Amino acid sequence: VRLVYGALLAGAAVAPLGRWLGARGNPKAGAWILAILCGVVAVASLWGFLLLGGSLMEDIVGADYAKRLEPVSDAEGLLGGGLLVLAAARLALAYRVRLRLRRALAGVVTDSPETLVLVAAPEAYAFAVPGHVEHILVSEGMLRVLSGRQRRVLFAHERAHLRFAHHRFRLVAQVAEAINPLLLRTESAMVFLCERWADEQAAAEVGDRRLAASSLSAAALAPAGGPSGASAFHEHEVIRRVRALLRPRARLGRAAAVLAALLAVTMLADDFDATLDLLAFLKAFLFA
Amino acid sequence: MTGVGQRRAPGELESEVLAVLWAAEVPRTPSQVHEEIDGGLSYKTIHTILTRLQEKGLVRRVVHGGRSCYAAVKDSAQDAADRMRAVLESGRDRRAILQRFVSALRPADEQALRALLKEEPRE
Repeated sequence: VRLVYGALLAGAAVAPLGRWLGARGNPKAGAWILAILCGVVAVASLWGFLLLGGSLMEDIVGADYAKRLEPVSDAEGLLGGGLLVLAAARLALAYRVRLRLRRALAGVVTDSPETLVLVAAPEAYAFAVPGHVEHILVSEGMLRVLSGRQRRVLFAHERAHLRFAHHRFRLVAQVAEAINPLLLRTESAMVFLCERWADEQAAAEVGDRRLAASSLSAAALAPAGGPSGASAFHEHEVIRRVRALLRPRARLGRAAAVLAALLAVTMLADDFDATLDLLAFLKAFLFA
Repeated sequence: MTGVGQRRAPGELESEVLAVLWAAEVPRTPSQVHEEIDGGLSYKTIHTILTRLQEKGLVRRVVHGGRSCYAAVKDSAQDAADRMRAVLESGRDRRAILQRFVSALRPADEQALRALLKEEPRE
């Protein structure tokens, strides 16, 4: 059962890997790899918590059958159960926030039949609003700081978010991060990968990487609406995006995919061993 | 690194034409709109799109400086602005979920960005 910890700890490697992938030339592959890893870690972690928490059963059913299991202390069992409850609470909170935002945005776009919803606000902002009817929400302030050609980059970028369902990638990362606390900042790594993906798509559509970079810069230098979410500790993501557009680096090698696959297999194997233990236990319990 | 762009997605051109009129201080003639939109398009295409936007009630024809021009209709967009402001100023958690095109820069980042753009030679 100690192997369960492997799955939990392996999660800590996911976010840095995601960031590393983001700096490479193929954010699309990076986002997919990160999403698959997030899915595997989330399932493996959840199952791990269940196995640990479930080990408390030993005390209930008596020690005879439990001898066949790898020993788990009560403290570990309680930890597993506690993490399970914590995961449920974090998921519920994330769901509520999401629901409230969705309702608020529905009030802004109000079933507009047009994909593009323009907002008469002096601040510069632009969002892709996924949903049953998709919208791209752009403020007048944003349109004013961009040239005609730069605006084409903006629209292509936002359209890419909708077309490739980037909100789903983000959801997978968010759920995984809620389940396994060691996946800290994985969601922001995923957001960055999706932004890079949309940047690359937009650059390809206009056929000019420099134009795409200039569009990002012009938007970033304009006063945005609402308080900024900029972190004081990291280089701002826009700078990294602009640099990636101006100086494309080597595309993602096969090494990264192999590394990710190894990580995923390790996590699954760990839980698999623990699961075999559990099955043996149940068999002994049921057929004794 | 200027290459050949791809064809525009459906609806994209309409967005771009509408955006030109929104960003303009004063009404624009069709040929002014044509100039501002990235090349490869005929004047006739722009004209067709302006007519379509007018039928949808998104732009209106006006006479400005003795010339026939188009202006954006922004009537309903003011309400949307107020509602959006409420969303942006609401809880930190809700704001965090919104995926912005870009988020605001700190002054130090601004300098770094300007430097990055400057050192990169124009092609």
